[in-house]
Amino acid sequence: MRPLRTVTGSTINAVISGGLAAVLVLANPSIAGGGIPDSNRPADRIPVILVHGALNSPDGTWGTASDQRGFYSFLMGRGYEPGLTLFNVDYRDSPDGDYAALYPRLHRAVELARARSGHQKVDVVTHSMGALLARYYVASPLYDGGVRNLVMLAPPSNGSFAVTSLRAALITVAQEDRRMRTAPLTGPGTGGSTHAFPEFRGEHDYVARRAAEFYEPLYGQFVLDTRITGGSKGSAESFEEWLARSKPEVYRDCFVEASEPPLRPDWDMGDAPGPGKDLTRAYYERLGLEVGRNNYLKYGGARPTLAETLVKSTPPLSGDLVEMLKEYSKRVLFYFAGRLLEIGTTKGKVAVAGLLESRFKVNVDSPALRRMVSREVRVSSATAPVLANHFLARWTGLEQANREGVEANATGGCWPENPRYLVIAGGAVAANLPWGRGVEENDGAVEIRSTLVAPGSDDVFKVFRGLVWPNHLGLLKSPTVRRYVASQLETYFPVRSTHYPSFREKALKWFRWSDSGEVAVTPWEPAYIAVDSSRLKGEAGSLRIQVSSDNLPGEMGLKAWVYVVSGDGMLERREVSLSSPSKTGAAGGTISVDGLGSLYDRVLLGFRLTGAFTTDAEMRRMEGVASPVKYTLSFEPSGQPGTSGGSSGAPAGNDGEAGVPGAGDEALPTIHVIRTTKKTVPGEFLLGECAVWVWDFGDGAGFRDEGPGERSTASHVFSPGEYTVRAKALDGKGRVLREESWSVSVPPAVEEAPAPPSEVKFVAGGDSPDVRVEVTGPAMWVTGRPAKFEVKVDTGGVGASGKEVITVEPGREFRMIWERPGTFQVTAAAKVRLTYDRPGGRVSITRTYTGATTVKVAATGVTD
Amino acid sequence: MYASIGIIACIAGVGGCFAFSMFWGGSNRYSLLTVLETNTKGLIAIPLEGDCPRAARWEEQSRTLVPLKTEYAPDRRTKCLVVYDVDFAGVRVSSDARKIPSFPYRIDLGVPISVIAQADPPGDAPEADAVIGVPVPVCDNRLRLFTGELSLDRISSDGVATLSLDGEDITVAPGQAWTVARIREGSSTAEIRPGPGWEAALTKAFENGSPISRLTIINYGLWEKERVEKCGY
Repeated sequence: MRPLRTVTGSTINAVISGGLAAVLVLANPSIAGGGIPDSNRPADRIPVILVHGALNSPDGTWGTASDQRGFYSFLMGRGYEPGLTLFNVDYRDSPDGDYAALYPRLHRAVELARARSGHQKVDVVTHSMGALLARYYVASPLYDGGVRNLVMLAPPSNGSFAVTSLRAALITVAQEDRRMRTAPLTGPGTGGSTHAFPEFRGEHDYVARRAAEFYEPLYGQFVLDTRITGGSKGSAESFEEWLARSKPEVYRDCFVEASEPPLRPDWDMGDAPGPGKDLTRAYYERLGLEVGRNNYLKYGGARPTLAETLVKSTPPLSGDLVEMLKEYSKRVLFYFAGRLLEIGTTKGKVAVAGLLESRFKVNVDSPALRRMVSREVRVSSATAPVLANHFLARWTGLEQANREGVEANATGGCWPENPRYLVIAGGAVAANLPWGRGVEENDGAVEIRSTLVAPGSDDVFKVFRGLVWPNHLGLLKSPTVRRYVASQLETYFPVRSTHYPSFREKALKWFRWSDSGEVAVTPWEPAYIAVDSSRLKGEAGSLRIQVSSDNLPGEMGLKAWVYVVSGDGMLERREVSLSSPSKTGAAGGTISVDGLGSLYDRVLLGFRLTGAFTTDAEMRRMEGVASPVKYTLSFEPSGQPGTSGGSSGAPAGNDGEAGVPGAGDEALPTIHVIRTTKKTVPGEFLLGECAVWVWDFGDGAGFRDEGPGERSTASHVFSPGEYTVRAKALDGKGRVLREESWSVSVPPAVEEAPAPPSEVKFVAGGDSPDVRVEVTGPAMWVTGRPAKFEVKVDTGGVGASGKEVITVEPGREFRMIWERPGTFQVTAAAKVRLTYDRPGGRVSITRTYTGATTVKVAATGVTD
Repeated sequence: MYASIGIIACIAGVGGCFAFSMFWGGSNRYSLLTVLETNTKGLIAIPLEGDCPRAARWEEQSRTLVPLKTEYAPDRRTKCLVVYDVDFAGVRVSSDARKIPSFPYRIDLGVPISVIAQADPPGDAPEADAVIGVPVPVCDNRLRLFTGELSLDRISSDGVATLSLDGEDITVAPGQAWTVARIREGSSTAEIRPGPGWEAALTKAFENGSPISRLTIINYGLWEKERVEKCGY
């Protein structure tokens, strides 16, 4: 299978060097230059990148910062900052809007949002065709896992019936123009011959030939059989239904078996779309049928008549793109309403077709328009749809395989970087508006069924229904929709139930526990059960999860999976192996999540019902389905207090390196902190200010310098001999702060002359040697669990000839256990002796140095 | 004596109520008929959606009627429901449902057919052109060859429908159909009835490009008013 995720540095560099600013616009240019965050601090919000729809603009889709009804300002109100956590991708300048060529722009936007916000992941919110662009990016080699949520509002994931019809109308107009200007492609009707497909020399030629040579005469046969000579009930039958019933071989050859890969063999996912490369022969046959019928009606009795709502009158050329788009959209709706198509001249039609191309970049050969043709088209209401857009079908299937990890599972991995999909659609237009009739429930442009990407296990699919609104363009205006999208972005996993600690074990008691419950599971939205980190308490052990359902709906399966989440990032996804549903609909399975023990571990258990989403009837049936699923959670510790091996040690996001003690740590000194005044260093080590110097000259003499001061001077007259002079600095409680000593040697007297008194001066005190005591340990911790700390005494900056660390309190390694939450200072003290060789003697200094770190301690005993 | 008068008055009252209810209250059943007019020529505009929606559809097995609009559903007074469709070259351009409370009831086959283009959405400026929001003919009514009156004269208690077309009496029993075709050749119009030569004559006229119209009446019999889905479709 084609490797999709090979990312080369050169590729990325090339894209990035293409310029970020050129493709990113801010709704408010005045703030374009601001908002660069402190590089050391991630932004509060995960950034959101907005991707507008086809024939639209960022402002037109999302509104501006000052438009209070717009989605853009709504997000600003929720704390998103333009240029920091809120971005737009603009692809209006693209000549054809083809997402296959435009997805690198989204990649650049993701890179910029990451750089500015400081987050590794971003959320992408799209409207209409913007979703195809985003999906293409996610499936592309450029994608490196940077998207957390991909929110798709009204996405034409399987094409748009509106685009299908519009394109059919345009190609019909073009074909008619061709027919009017050239000799009609008249010839003997095949009368039902089905095997003489003409050579494919382009879709216009193919459609024209099939219409003229095959479907037009066939339509006459249909009229004669069903309306004139045939049975009395014949008029209820359509051309397509008659074809499928009376000429099954034609239907089989032209539609069923023509749902083949496109005509040219070099088709590939990344290849540019074009005639014969992306749409199946069945699609062209469908166009030929439509044109053939129109030709019959046109030349066999009716005056020329085609998509008159589009082509009869020229849309007002106000120059305002938005207004013209509205006008155009309205006419498209009238077109689908099919109220009336009055006859216009070919000249007029061609002129309007040209207008569409020049003003809206819409033409029949537009790659974007081709790629949004429905994946399937319905030839007859009595028969199954046939494949039309082979490109879309293949791409969707390939992407789904990646999301489900099918390809990767073959090599033992999965794609944890795949984003979560949220598909949001509007519905009920079809039931209430005349132009919606004839297609399945839709929002005026996209059928609900077509919005759905083949669902992955953690996809969300929400349909908002109304009389006529929210429709395709109005979906974003719905306050309910906006709130829902924002809530999804802010919560990431909508959790149905959270298991906080409900037990009453005393803190520090190594525990095992179990819980059980039941949750209603649907095929539309995954249900998540969270086992919160405060429930797991960072204990080493494993969580055993049992899932069972006694009565799954028919033809539906159950899927369950587990995320082990640390901090705000997803670490690992594991599938729960479930038995296939029995005849009674019973299914179940078990998974054991081992290796828990990091403080911020939490576990998310996800469920959803699975089933086929192929027909509208199935969609409707599944929509109302909810099945109860039982689950049981049980935690089993893997060790005893202080012996919990296998842990990663430090809590996630912690600067500290020490953490849960490993085996053998029992011997370490442990300090239980019950009161906030608890000190970690014995009182004798916590010294005060220098209060007095005590001098000892070594010959029985001495004195006290009550200075007080950091320095003390003394002089003494020695008799000949060897002496050791000591000076001690004491604090007010008599504890030694500093001790210095000198060696004094006084030579004996010479006989010729009496020895003069030998007076020696001393200076004690002064600058302290640069000795550092560093305490390392966790910056955040919880009550009841031992935290390990280490003490390092650094004397490297001291130029002494002798360095001796006499003692360290409470120890070079020690444990702390807090029994109550709060912010605490953890202090360590080291007594160090330094020796200096100086002219005239050796000076030895003994002094106590301290170091400290601050720890925030949280309580675990929170209950709901 | 007063008692006798009271009894007589009571009987008269009950009888009157019964007669009133029989006359005004109607039955819980109605007769379902369809009138299909098909034409080969004369279409000048096509409803783009294809056929215009049928006024009602029905499930013959369950004998359930699904009207397009709730006002098409037979009400308490409806004795017969006629679904009248007009078709040009395989394209249904008109469909109507007539609720008939009393007989005779006349259907004017010559009423020109036009389509009211979709009105603008409320609040929007009206269209400048003449297409949207105004009646527009969709067919050349001169090429519809049935232009007289179709009279529905009565429905018997067993559901047999008695009609008349241009003075000709027509009887259609439940489950049966009646049909006739007309061909215009030059300035004259010929009438073709089912029988030997029916298919050959019509096929020849069709291939010659002659305008053909056919009228078909189908009697679906008596249906229960309870079996009507009033939600529309």
